[in-house]
Amino acid sequence: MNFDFPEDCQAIAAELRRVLARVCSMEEVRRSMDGTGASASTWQALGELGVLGTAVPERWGGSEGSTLALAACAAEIGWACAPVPMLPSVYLATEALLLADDDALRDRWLPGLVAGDVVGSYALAPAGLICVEGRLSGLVPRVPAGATAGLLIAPCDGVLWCVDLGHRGVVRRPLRVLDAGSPLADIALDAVPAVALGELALQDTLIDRAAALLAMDQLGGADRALDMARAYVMQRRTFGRVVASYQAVKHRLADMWAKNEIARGHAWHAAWALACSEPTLPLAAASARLAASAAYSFAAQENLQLHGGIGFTWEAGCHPLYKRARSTSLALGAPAHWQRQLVTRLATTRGASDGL
Amino acid sequence: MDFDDTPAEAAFRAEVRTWLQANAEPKRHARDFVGDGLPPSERVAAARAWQAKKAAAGYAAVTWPRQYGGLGGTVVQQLIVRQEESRYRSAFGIFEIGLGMCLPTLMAYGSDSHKARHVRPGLCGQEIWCQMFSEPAAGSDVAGVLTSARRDGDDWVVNGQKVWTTGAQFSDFGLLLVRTDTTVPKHAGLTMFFVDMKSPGIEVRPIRQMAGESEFNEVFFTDMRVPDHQRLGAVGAGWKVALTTLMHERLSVGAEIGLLNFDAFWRVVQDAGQLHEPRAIEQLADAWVAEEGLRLHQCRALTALSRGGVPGPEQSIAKLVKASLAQRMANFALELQGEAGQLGCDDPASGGQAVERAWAWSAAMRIAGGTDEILRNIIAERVLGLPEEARQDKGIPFNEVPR
Repeated sequence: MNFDFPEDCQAIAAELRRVLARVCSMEEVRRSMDGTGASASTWQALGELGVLGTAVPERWGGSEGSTLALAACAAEIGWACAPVPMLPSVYLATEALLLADDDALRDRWLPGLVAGDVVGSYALAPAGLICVEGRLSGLVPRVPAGATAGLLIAPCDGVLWCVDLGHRGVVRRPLRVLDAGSPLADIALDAVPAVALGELALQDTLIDRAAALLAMDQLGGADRALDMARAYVMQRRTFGRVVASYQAVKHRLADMWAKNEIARGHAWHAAWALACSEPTLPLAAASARLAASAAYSFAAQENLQLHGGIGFTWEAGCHPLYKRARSTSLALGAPAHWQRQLVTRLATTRGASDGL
Repeated sequence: MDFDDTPAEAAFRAEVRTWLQANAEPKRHARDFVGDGLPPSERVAAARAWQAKKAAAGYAAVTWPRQYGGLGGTVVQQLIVRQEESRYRSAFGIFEIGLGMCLPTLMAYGSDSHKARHVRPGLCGQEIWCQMFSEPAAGSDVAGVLTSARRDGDDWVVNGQKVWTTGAQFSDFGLLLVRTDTTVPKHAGLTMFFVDMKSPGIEVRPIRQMAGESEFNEVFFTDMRVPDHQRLGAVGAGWKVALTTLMHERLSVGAEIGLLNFDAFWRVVQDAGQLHEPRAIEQLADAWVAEEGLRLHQCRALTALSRGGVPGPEQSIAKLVKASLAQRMANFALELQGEAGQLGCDDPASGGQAVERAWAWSAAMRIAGGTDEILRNIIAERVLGLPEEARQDKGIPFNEVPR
């Protein structure tokens, strides 16, 4: 039994936390959410550090590290609440290129994705696309980072397609979103050339892998919310007492901690299943998504609550976590979706599929 | 990162498995113990026989030193024995308090002759121990015990009442926490003894619990005499001794609370044909995330232990999460039956009885061994470093505290 991140992963995560503390303070997070929704300086730093290509082979400019190291980095990015397109560009587009076996497309896209020069994205919402002679037309709704993405991977006719969004015939419409740090845009394609990446069947594995990584991001955010709440109630005084001394407050923090610990077990387990390509990944990923979404949502909302009125202000730094907790729990399938997935997968492992 | 046994652990597990296959009977259902269905005295005899067998093989107290009949093994090995044994019919838990709490305390504070006299008989199941700390007015605030001991020559004379004493009706000996000085603050006036439960002046009365059964007891002391040589630790140092006892409780990492687990809950939902119902899906997912999450939390704890750590206050999460979960699952399982959920179930092998039991006992498990509220305090104070609860009796002589 050795259920812990290996030392090299811990060292990478510690270094990333130091860098993010410098380039991606809560002030930078708020500023980005007031502007484009992305922190360009943070994205650049992640590219320079090699984080975006953590699990990418060196021939495409990656660090050729382990997926476990990428998972450890995801938690740090979540902790910083960094407004950067990790989910669409790294956990989905880069992973899709690694998963599919097409070196020409890897040569074309991976170096740019790894350096952060190109943002990748993925059509998660059902798209109304048609494909005629290798050209895609139709609407792709709610594309993560859709306003800035250079590459879109979209399913159509049982195939995953790579679409260069630099072509003519691409019209982007940014959408108003609850979390400005996780921007979405509708993308309309009009006979835009596309290259087949692989079978649509890849998508299930791809989504499970992204779910494991996103759960680590959520775990980081949940930990940050607990840290922030703890620090605030320890210094704030009311009625002549430190707020942290009230039992109602202590118990709330204890509940936040307990949910975070449950989420940590599941997220680490999914990260392990991801790194080892374990057959239990689908079950572990669904569990991790549910545990991490529940922990982050609770921690973020109670962090704001425990801050009192100041927590509702733009300056307090509670709202980016509150918003990110929501967007991360809805992107890639809402909890109800993952509950159904979980029970279906449990039924399969229990040979009870006919009961469903 | 891995979840595998080390080669040494795997070899140990194989040994344990081989021994169990040769010496134990597989369980027929979740609560199938040796002597199940027999009258209480025969049940105890069957449990003693099993315990003697286990002790002879060295598996009764894996972590104890060999001189006391243990294996000198690790906490991980102890868990391996527990995991493997859980598939077989074993004792119904009457030795756990002696082996898990009382005898380790005796080993830490008893004289050599006491250790020589009591440890082996306890280990082999010849003698059963109980722990007498809680009182009607000392539950969560267990240091508030009122039962008194007054020095009289070479003896002490004990008067008062204990409550929630598991197994007192079967016990030969018991740890007893008493107040020997009321003129000093609460914790400073306590002293620990061990007593012969057959002593004159002890009366054990069963408590009738909410479900009608009697498993716990009240124990009354009327001028009961205990010799001074049965004192554990110094006069007035009883709280320190009690903490040793309670710390050993924590060492039983991952101990099952014996209520409805996820597998049983799943079967209940499946048997009701409800696996596809949205509410059932939500409840099943919730239960799985909690139970599997605790298992994974325990895997992290074991990783820390195998690196030389000690079980810390983080372990409080297990009962806090599990007891409430059992209550939620049981309530939902009853709701699934509709109006028929009002009916009792008498088939020990059916899910219905497990549900009925969990419904009643989850309420007890949210209280016993640290209430949900105390556990949250422990997490808040000892894990998160938040301020301690205000104690109005702090530093005040015990006899001056209003009560």
